[in-house]
Amino acid sequence: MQEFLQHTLNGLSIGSIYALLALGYTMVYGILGMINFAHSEIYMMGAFGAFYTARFLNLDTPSVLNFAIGLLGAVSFAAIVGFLVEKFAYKPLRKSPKMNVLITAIGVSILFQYGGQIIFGADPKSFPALIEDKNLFSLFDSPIHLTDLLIYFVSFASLGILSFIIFKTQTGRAMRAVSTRPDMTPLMGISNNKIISATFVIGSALAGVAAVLVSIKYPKIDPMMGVRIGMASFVAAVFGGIGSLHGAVVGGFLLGLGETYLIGYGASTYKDAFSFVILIIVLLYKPTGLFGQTRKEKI
Amino acid sequence: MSILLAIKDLSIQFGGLKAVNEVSFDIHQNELLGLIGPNGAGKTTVFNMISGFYSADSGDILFDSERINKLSAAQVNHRGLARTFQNIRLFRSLSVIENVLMALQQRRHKGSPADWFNSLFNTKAHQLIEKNLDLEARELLKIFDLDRFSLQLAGSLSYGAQRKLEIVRALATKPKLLILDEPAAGMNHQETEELNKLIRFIKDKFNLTILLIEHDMKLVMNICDRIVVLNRGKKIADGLPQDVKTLPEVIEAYLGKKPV
Amino acid sequence: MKKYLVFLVLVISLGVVLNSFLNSYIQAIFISFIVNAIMALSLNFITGLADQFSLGHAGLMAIGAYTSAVLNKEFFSDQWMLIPLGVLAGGLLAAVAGYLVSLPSFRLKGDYIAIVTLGLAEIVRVLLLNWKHVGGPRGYNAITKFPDFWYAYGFAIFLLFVTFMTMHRLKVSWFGRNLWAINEDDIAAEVMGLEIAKTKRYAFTISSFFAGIGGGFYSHHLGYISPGSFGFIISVQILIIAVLGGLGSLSGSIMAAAILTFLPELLRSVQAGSLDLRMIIYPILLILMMILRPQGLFGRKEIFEYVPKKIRAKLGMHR
Repeated sequence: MQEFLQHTLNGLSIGSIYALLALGYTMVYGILGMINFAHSEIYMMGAFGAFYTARFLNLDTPSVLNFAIGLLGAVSFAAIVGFLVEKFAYKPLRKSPKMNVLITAIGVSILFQYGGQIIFGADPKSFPALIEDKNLFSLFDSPIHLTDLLIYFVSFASLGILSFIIFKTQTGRAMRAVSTRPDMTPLMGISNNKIISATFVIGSALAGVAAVLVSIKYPKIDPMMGVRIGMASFVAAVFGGIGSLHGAVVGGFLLGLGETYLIGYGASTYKDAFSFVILIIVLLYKPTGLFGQTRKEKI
Repeated sequence: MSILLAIKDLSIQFGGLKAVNEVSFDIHQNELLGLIGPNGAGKTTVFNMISGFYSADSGDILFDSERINKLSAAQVNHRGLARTFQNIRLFRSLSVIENVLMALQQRRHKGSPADWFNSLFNTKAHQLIEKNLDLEARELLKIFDLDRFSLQLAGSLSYGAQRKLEIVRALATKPKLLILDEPAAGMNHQETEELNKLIRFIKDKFNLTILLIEHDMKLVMNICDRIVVLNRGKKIADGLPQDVKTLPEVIEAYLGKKPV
Repeated sequence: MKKYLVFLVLVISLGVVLNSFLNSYIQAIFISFIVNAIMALSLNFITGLADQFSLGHAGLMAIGAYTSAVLNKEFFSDQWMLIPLGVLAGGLLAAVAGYLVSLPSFRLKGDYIAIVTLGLAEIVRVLLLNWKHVGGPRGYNAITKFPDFWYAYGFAIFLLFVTFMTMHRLKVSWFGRNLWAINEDDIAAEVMGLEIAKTKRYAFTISSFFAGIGGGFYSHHLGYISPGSFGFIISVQILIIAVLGGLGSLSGSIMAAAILTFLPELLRSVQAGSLDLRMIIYPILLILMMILRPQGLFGRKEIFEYVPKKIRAKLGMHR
């Protein structure tokens, strides 16, 4: 029982990270119809953003304040990178065939991975201890760490903020409008370009949050850190229904739980393939995912 | 007269809206049936279900006594049903003759092992087939007086000529039933007259059955043997043109309720 | 007929030059170029001509490589004369894999095919990593190698020739025209009776076959393979070559393979650590090409279509 609970808690923890990243993929797909391959590298940039912020400001003692500053550094850096990538690499291709943008996204992704190795150095760096890894209390004999609680808290808070933005603000409404009828929104006074940029910024910010949350629990960061987690989160987004915000969140948690149970109870070497197997099963039997909608094309 | 196409209780729903609601009608051999109705009546949807692009939620589509509901558009064409498009889907960057060749080659090159072998090794047999296809395409174009445009890009033709070419291309697939989707769209009076003559001509020459979807009332009244009227997804009339056009339901569908 | 004789003479002359006047390092680079060309052609066939974006060709290559390697070492007792048989088997197995993948996949939209193929390549890689019999992560060693340069060179040229000619003949015949029609307007193509899914499946199977052939040959050229040599980055490298040459241009793929195989080697002597910079230059090249010249070198046309009409008529070309 205790093991199951431990796995479940871990699964929800990693699941919330997947959810945050999956949202970035799904929002961009919803508004532009493209898969932002480089999202995993924006996540990586977030981690390094926090790293260099802490280094620059000499944040060497763990505290909530330092954590918040690190988080801010991650979010800002990720958001800026995301904004620039959209503006310079994707925007020129708005009218091009889908394949071209996809190829460009792959190019950006690879560029950041290997460019990061040159600029940041390929060796893993130790992420600073921004928050103390205290063992707070035990639930059914399972130790609950402060880091885990923080992950839950921050990710739920982020999801809450995102919900608020999407459903209660004008920008959010505009984002939803541009997702469905980009031909009509300019007539309503909405600047598609600005909304698209906003979407990228928000998605990237969430990736930055995810990066810090992961790094306080697994404090080794390197330029390739986004590759595997990006793929898994993308699968989560497709599984939940690409384009659907609810889908991304549900998909993220389900995938996190699934992977954790797999590792805990069986073949951990197949973990990497697990997400792909799920992906292929989903695409073959319900390509629109859990919450997606089929759109009948008008002939 | 035997029935070539029978539609029974056909229905389809998009979201919460029943676009086509238990529509039934028949098309007899060598008949020219007109399908009319105001915008949004469901004509194109019925049409797309017949031609294999949409899958009906319920009901039957029987072509030559075979139920064709589940067939793909290509398979429907193989059974002998060809169609044109309201907004002309020609291969604009190909020449006129190449457009026709594209359609003709579907009947000739079915993908048999011999086909693959011949094309890989460029055998004499292959070259002969290609030459014959070319001749056949030219002859077909000649019938329609389009052969002088053979090598011109399809996209460079006049609107009327493009419409004609699309019909020729459909004919190249040797159909029993030809469905024309608003062929008179965007045509002036004279062009519509020519279209009228063209449709009568191909019906006789190629022994066709034709289903015509159209807005232009003059053309419809003039040329159709029978008319089916749809409104809001349901069939509201089915009969001879002169009878149908006086029915109050039909007039109301187009002009709205008479003020009391 | 005459042009084939000319081709044969050129090939033999080149072989003599490579064998007698250049060292084994350059010979190996040349063979690498041919492998890259075959892989790029195979990707181009499905992504360029059939417009189906595949990101999983590294996986198909792996299937071909491991199949041929294992067959030759364990069933053919290392006889170098039987290498072609192993390579053929590699191609066939890859073709089967490709066919199975394409069965359900072509109902999906373009992006999804990219993801499915990527996923399958990763699954192949993970399966190979866990398969102890073929070495798992340590790789498969002591693969039957070619006995001498002429064998390797002759076989490589032969494979490239077969790959190119097959694709070229298909491209200019009814199959190629069908592929083109699907690209241009798939709905119009369908109502003419063209079965789209079936056509795409054939294209993918053919593409997979040649990817397997390339992989099979590659394993005997290197003598050692591991799951790591068939990761996603390899699929991307093949993609870069195909894009540079022009998606849809077969001769373009060969040209681009030459450029991207030989140029880095030339630069290597000028610049230390250029291997690292390749992974910076390639993606930048990719991005810039997509923005500034998405058709690559030749677009969808072949190199001889750029030769002026008069010269082509003289050479007896009728297109």
